[in-house]
Amino acid sequence: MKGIEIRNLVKFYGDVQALKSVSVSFSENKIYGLLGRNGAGKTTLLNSITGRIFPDSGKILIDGEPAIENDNAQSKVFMMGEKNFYPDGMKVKDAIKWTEEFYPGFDRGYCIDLAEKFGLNQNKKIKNLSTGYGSIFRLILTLSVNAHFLLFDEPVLGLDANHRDMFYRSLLEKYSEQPFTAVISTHLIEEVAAVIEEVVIIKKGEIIRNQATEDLLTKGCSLSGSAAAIDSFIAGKTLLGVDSLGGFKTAYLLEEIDPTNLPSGIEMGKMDLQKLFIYLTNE
Amino acid sequence: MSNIKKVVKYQVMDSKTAIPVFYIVMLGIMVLIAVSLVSIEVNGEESSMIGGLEMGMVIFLFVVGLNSFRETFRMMIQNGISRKTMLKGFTITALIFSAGMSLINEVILAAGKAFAASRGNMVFMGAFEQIYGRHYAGEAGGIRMSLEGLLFLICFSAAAMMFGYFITNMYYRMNKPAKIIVSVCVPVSLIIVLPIFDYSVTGGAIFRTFWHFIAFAFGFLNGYNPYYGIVSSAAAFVLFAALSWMLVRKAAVKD
Amino acid sequence: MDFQEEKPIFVQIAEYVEDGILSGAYPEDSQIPSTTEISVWHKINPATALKGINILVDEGVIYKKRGLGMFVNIGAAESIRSKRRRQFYENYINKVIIEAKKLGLSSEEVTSMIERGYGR
Repeated sequence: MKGIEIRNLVKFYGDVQALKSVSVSFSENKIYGLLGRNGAGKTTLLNSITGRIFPDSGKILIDGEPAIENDNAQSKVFMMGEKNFYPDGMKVKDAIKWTEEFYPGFDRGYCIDLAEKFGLNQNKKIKNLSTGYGSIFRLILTLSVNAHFLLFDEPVLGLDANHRDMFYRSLLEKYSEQPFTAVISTHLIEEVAAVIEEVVIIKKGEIIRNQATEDLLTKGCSLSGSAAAIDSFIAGKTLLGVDSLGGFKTAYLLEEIDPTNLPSGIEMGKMDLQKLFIYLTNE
Repeated sequence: MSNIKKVVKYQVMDSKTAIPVFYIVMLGIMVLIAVSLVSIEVNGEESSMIGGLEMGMVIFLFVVGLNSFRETFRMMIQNGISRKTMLKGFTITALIFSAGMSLINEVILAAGKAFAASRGNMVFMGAFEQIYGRHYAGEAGGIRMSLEGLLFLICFSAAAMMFGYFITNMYYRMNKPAKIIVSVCVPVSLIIVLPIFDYSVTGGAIFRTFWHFIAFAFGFLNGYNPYYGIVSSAAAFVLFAALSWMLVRKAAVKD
Repeated sequence: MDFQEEKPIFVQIAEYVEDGILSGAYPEDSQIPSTTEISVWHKINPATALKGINILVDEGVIYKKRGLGMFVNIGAAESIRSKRRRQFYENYINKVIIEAKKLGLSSEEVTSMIERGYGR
């Protein structure tokens, strides 16, 4: 099977169960959003895929091959981590040189172009880059390696609005030219909502949603009206949450509702991904 | 290019800049000693130059081994290299470094000997010759001694480099309290507790046994046969590689 | 473009291209932006852009020239205009009336406002 397949992944940190039997697959040539609150297990999942940490049990397959301690499987993956993994004394240009060495598909010309576009100084030592440029440096490398699977852990951390914009555009451009699988882990949802085709929501080490973004968006809706009208209408429906302000109530549902069938006095609205996410991952 | 080759290339490139620095320092020291010796032996007595070069080289490679894990590990993981490949790569790197530097050492020895010979009243000896020289008593030319000395130095310095790698691996796997405990307890018990214990309780038996073991391992008990030392060093190299593997195979990246 | 929550993004993409055709930015038989261009420009997934484009293909507003891209059909602007006219009541007038009723505005008052708007 092509893609990354994860079965029953369990990871403990001491007594804390960071991943509770996570099963999820990332299939070929799609952009995934891995969404979760801080500490939900996003990084643990990505770190397990790339062999940075060892899961306690479960399976990870990359194109059908076991991923753990497997050079061939790992050569298809590149992860842009939140942290810097390059030696302190290394310069940006040397990191580019070595990445090219390790990933034969690396596109040097493209990488240099991107570095210039983003204004990344290649003669700087990596440890001397600002948070934003540290992210930019790792983003540029990741976009240039031409691996099948690109994992982005909080890619836009510390980036200003212009650079974030450039990143999403560069990602989409690259993806349109030569598709790959991208997994973007983030808690800044608004920005990626339109970019991601599939959404995987992780909450306290468990996958609670895994579906097409559009599918989730069509189902999510808000109904507002008088408390009495809302209460009687939502009885028996799957509720995400309720907000009330005096006698006025808004209910958030994850169900397709036919707007022509609504009782009078109830207004229907859609929910964006950010709102859906907040209600889905609320305590 | 296979991944192992890439790792070797990376490790060699990573540490190679330290080598010229090492030789510049060592040669400086040697010249200093040579000059002072030349000035001492005015009264025509025989003086000898002691080959501290090998000892320096062994320490140097031990330190290179110490510095070959932490940053490299992260870099390799970032680039999709498995721990297995990483260790294989380091093993080859250790052999390349020790072989390369042992060869350079051999050249310096030859040059030193030629220089000493030209002075007529000087003796220039490498560490190997000082230890195992008596094994070759009466042999002409010293080709066999050179070759066996080279082999010994390669094995011994490779073992030292692997030992450094093992130590750094051990520290990497330990948590902070364990690191502190080991850093304090090991030196204290080796330098203070053990000698006192040995002196007052076992009557020196521990140290006698230890020296006996060393003497055996390096062939001192068997006519200073260098192959004891060669085999022991090679065995130590393999042992530290195996221990390193046990540590690195489940090493997780730390933030 | 800021996407609204109310409509799926691919529908908004289709409308965006339609707007371009209506305004004359994409005349008949001219090429419209590629899926990639639309995707990068609006920062949306190419699959979404393609879905929007496909609505227009299905409606006969645009057609594919093999190897070249998407082109505006003859009569596309006219067909979009008549479609939008048909939807005008549902999309706009309906909402105006609902809001007017909430506010207690009479039909005459609303009509006079519309006339005032036209008169400007």
